[in-house]
Amino acid sequence: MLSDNKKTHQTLALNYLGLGYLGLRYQIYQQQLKAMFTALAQMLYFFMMALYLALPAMFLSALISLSVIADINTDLLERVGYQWGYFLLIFLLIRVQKSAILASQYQYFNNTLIVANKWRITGSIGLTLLAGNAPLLAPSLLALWIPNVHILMNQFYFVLFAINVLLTAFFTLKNKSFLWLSLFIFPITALLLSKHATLITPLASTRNATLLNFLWLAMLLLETLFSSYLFQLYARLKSNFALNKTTFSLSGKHYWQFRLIDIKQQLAPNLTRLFSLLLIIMTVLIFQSRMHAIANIPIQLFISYLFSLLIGSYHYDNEAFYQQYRYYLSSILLTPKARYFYDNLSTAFLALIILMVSIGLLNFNLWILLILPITTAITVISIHYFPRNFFIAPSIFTLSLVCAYLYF
Amino acid sequence: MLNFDLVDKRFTNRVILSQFSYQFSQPHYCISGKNGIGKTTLLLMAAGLESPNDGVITFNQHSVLTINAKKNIGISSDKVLLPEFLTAHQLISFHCQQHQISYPDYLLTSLNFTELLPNKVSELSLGNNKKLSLILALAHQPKCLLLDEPSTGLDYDSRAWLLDYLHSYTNTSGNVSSNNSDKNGSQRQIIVTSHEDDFLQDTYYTQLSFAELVETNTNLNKV
Repeated sequence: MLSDNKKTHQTLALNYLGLGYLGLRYQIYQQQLKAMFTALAQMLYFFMMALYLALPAMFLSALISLSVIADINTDLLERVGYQWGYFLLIFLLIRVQKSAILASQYQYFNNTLIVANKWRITGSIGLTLLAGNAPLLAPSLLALWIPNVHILMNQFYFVLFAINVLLTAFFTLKNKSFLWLSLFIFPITALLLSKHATLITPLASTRNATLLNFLWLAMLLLETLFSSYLFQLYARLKSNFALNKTTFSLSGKHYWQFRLIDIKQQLAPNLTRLFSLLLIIMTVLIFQSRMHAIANIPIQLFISYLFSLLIGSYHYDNEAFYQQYRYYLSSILLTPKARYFYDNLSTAFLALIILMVSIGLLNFNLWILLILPITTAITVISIHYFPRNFFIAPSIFTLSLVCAYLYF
Repeated sequence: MLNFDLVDKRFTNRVILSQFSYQFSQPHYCISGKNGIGKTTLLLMAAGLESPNDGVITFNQHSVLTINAKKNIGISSDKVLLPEFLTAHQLISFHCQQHQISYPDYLLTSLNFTELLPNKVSELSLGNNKKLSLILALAHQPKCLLLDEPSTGLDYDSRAWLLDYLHSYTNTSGNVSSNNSDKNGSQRQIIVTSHEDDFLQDTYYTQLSFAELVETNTNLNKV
């Protein structure tokens, strides 16, 4: 009896410790997010102000895209596009919060704590669900809503899709690198192949959707099974290549690589930027496809303006980089002008991709080829000279264009 | 030679230098003084990394803020935060490419650093970070070498090697380089700040107290 009591007390004590541990993990998560948002404060503050009403709509657009995915009549090409966009959103949403979810900054401290593994896992799962929020949970909830086996068989592709969403989130946390196979190689191949797929009956459509999601699931599993081997091989090749390369010829040639390494490691701001860009693109795509129309010129100008602000906001990272390594950067043999040039190459690259998407996917007017780079350049210059009120100059420029268009 | 001409340096709530003029004419200096007195700031200004509020700092008649002067200056200081997202190898390669020099294998071997090349800067220990900073300062064999507490954190062997190396750095006969002077005949120069006896007791260095240096070379009449 006494021994039983002792055991109960021990279990209770451990559970109490476990619950305390979950609270601690939640606090770390909150603190990390706060730190991340502080770094992005300027950009996010403006977006909260400017898109006060539009932000929830943009988030809802991700959920609206579920209706396209759930619809059995969606053609295969469209399905691959929407599902790819959805998986990418989940990837970005979890990746940007990964270190906060796993408490990576405090991993040594975390490992010193005497808590059972089940509590660590519970903490990670709970925080992942919190971080993924509605976009992560909605597909599973919808899949659970299926009332009977007959409908389940008909909608099995959606159940597979919901599993894929959860697995994407899980593997984003688990894998060190981008999910190249399931989020890049496979969707591109599927897009190319689906152009030639024939969809005659709803039965064929169900079969294709199920097959697509089944293959996607297989890719996710395959990638995870082999990722550690691939990662080791990649690391070995990379280190061999780096160690053999000892001399260089042209001065200044490698500064952009130097910056690129930093950019790759500044995950939070870059992924938030990409996430926001993807969300805008998906919103425009959904509205255009539902309304069977292309956005009119003033709307295109407004969207181009949002793109420019997001792309141009990259200059905040440059300024933070200059501040952090100011002595070292003063010691290198590059003039500030050359540094600014190299640092804005990535901005130009991102702008180029968005231009291609705007024209190729969103069917925007060719004027965007001129307007987007100009608005982006104005944003970059504004951030440099007026970091707090950076949005004024690009706003005036865009408003002038809209007025000019409406007037003439 | 490094030359400070009527240099002012102030931070928000304190003055480091006011109308300070001094020519560093000897090949070796060791500057000592209390913590936080301004020794590191002096070195950072000498390297052109911190601009004076007023006055001019030159090395061989070129302002230290110009790229031409920076090619001839090397600095090692904990204040110079190195990009921690790069590996040591990437950082050294970048430095070599900037100065168009070959990989400093000799320095890497001497400081037992070769094995640490694949490690990221953020993963290096305090002592190894110091070694990396020294390698970067020495790799391009600058004519003006500025070292801020160079022996702090180094292990015994590395410290002994560094002291020897610095002794031979300005000698023509030393194994550091066969050419210790530039085409104009100007000599190499080392300025060290330290609290360690390794440097304070070394007669090889002209010993300067920062407080005295500033006091005797400040021309307040010109304010």
